[in-house]
Amino acid sequence: MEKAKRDSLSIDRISDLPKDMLHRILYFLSQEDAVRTSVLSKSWRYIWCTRPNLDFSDIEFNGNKQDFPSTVDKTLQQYYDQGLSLEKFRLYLSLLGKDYSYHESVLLLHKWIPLLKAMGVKEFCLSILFDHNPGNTDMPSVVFKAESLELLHLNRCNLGQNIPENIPFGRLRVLRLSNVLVENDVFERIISSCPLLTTMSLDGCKGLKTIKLEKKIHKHLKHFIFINLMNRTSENCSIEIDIPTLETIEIMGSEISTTSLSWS
Amino acid sequence: MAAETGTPTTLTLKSNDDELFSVAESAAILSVTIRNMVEDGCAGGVIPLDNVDGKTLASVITYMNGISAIPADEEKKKSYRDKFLSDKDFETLADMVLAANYLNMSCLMDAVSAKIAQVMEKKSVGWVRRKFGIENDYTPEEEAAVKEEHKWTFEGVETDDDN
Repeated sequence: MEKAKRDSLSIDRISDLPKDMLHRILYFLSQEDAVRTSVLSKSWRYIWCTRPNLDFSDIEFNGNKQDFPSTVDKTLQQYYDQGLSLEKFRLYLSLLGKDYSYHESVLLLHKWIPLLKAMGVKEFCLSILFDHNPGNTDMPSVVFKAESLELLHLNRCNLGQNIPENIPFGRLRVLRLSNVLVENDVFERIISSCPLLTTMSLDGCKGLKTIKLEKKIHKHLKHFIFINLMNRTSENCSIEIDIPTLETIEIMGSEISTTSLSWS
Repeated sequence: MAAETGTPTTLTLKSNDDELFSVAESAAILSVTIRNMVEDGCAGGVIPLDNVDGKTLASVITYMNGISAIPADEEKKKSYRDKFLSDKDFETLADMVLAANYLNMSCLMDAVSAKIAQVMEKKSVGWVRRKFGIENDYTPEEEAAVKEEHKWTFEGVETDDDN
């Protein structure tokens, strides 16, 4: 442990740093830690408002959960209205359907995703947990129009035929589907639109009969995870992978049979 | 590893308080500022670094040597950076971030910025002010108004009267 004297500064060095360097520091903070710096002193008041990233998670949101959507909404709108550059946007929604209705949530996504697109966000991480029984909730198609997405994690939802034909996921690196109901043709449509995918994780997904991954389309895929612990005898899924550069495969399930396995 | 031209080139760097440092060119060019000087042929004699003091420059050179000795392995480089910064106090970190910016060393700048951010994480406003010597120039009314505006960020953090 450092001595107390050495631990506290009498001269304020940090406030004198140029604004872009303060942005760099705030870049590594959560949204609320960044916003809280506005109270430090007058010179800090608006520094956070222009940092190049936003990071919202309703689990980590300390205020009244009901205020979460309006807080995200207000901040995003502010960035958009002021023409600020937004490099990275992280949105973790896990309480959708609990504190807000499905309809409200869909409306918000319909508003936010086009805003992000218009701002040219470079990195966009989206994690959504719809707290419904799978099959009841169709994922709004607007999610599949978010060109800048690099990570997409969907939980407990239904990927139906409303998913568009052409999905602009040219930047997507990580795709995680958990407890998602998705038919084979929709799944194929999605994964064939993600040429840069490095990680694919499918956990408790229903409706899939075959998963076929080829090096031709997924030459960057490094990690494949497939988990199906639900003992559903009627649902069998066959997995075929032909990607020599794959680094890890994790398959968990109650019944696994291997027909052919060859490593190169 | 000997360079193709013969013996490895050594550069002499001069801090703003006139200390001289010898450093292998291969390590020094981690700084884009220095690399540009080398490429422009301005690195023959002594390279003056007007915005960095001797104490900070010594530290930056330790970092340059350490990180350039690690082969292309991001994990190992990251753990070197973490270890390198682990015993630095805030005054040093502030000097380092300014030096990294001047020398245009983005990896060091990011690492130091992340380290400073880590110190501020989940801490009360009062704690951060004391830690960094930030003077509160708000009137109590103004401060209350800013707090009210961002009320949601004040729940679940340490209280202000902790020491």
